[in-house]
Amino acid sequence: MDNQLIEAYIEEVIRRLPENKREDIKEELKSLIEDQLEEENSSTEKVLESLGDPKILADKYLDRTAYLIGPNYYYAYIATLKLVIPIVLLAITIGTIVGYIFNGGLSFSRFFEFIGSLFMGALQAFTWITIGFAIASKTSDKHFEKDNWSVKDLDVKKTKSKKFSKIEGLIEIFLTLVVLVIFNLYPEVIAIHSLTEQKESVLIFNLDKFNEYLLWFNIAFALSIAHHFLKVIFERYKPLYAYIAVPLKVLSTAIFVIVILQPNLLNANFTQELIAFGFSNEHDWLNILQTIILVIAILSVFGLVIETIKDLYYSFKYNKDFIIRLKNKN
Amino acid sequence: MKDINELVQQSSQEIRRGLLVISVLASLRNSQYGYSLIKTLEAKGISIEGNTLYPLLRRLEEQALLASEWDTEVGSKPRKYYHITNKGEEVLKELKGIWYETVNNMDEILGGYDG
Repeated sequence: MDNQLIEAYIEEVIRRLPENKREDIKEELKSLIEDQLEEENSSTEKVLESLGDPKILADKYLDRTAYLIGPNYYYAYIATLKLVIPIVLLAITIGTIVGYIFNGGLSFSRFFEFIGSLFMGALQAFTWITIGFAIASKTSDKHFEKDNWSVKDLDVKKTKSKKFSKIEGLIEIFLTLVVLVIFNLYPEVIAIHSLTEQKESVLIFNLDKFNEYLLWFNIAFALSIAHHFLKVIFERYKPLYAYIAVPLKVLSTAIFVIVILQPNLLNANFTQELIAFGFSNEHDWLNILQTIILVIAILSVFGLVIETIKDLYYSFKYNKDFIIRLKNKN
Repeated sequence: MKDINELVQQSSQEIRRGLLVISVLASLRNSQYGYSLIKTLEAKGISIEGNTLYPLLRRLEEQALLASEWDTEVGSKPRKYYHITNKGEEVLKELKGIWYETVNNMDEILGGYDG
């Protein structure tokens, strides 16, 4: 009898089980194995092999297979991966091409940088989609296992409620990703470019400050992408969508507007450089740029208001009884 | 494509899996420990592996259909003895009824089949 081997086997089983069951199952298995050894007169190896893979035995004790992403979400998960990863790769490629067009300087190291960012982008997308679906799967699997299903559970409103345009959501994700790539990898592209041969340009942002705020830009973009993601995942407007989407959109717009309105974010020498560039010297170009930025900020807030109203309207339109239920609760 | 043997094995496994609960409950009117239960069932033509039986015993115990105690008699090694509970008896009685009903129904269905 090889005690060490038996211990190792049992350990492999019980480490996968809840703490409070481990000791008992350990004793149980030990006595089973010892009985089998004694009465069948066979080797430790044979007995353990007859018990099989410790992982499978542990699954049997758990009476379920542990999923990261449950069967209810599996196909949606795969579909989302197939949809989003190519979009991420395409966005990085286009962002990079835009960078090359304005910057030039095609080199080996740039090429490897590009390959690296493709890889990182795909990895990030994969990780976040997986985490998102794992959370969704863990939190809502219970809802699917209703004990007494009746026809009343069919939600007619659900099929009546307005659908998102999947394409629209994907295009928005894509465009945001392109901007994200440019902001992070080629911020010098955000400039007034001369169309002459010299390839000179006047930067719009003060790059030092811009880099300080880059993290906040990224957070705003990530939140915005998450918001569009919800549309792809939810497929239709519903209250739960509104509860998550509206705060996301508010937060991402707020961050974006606050960062973009930082006074020292813009290139302080914008006017002088533009004049040197051959622009008329009768205008305060920096002032005009500030006005444009202000307009962008106002449009962002305006867009936020419109989208929020739309989200709330469509999410609750066919779910009035949901609101009534909420009211009754209070 | 699965071949015939594989398909038959899969189906027969499903049939037997359903019968295990009845077999185990019925065999534990006399208290037994795990390995002896395997042998008892085997002698009656029901083969079950330890890696199926032990998790099943635990599940039935959690459902309060079985109860167990460790026998730590001096001189022998500790063994966990299982026996059926009152609740288990009730369930067994119901299952037994369903079993005979099923056998009758199956006879009827298969009666016209002489393959």
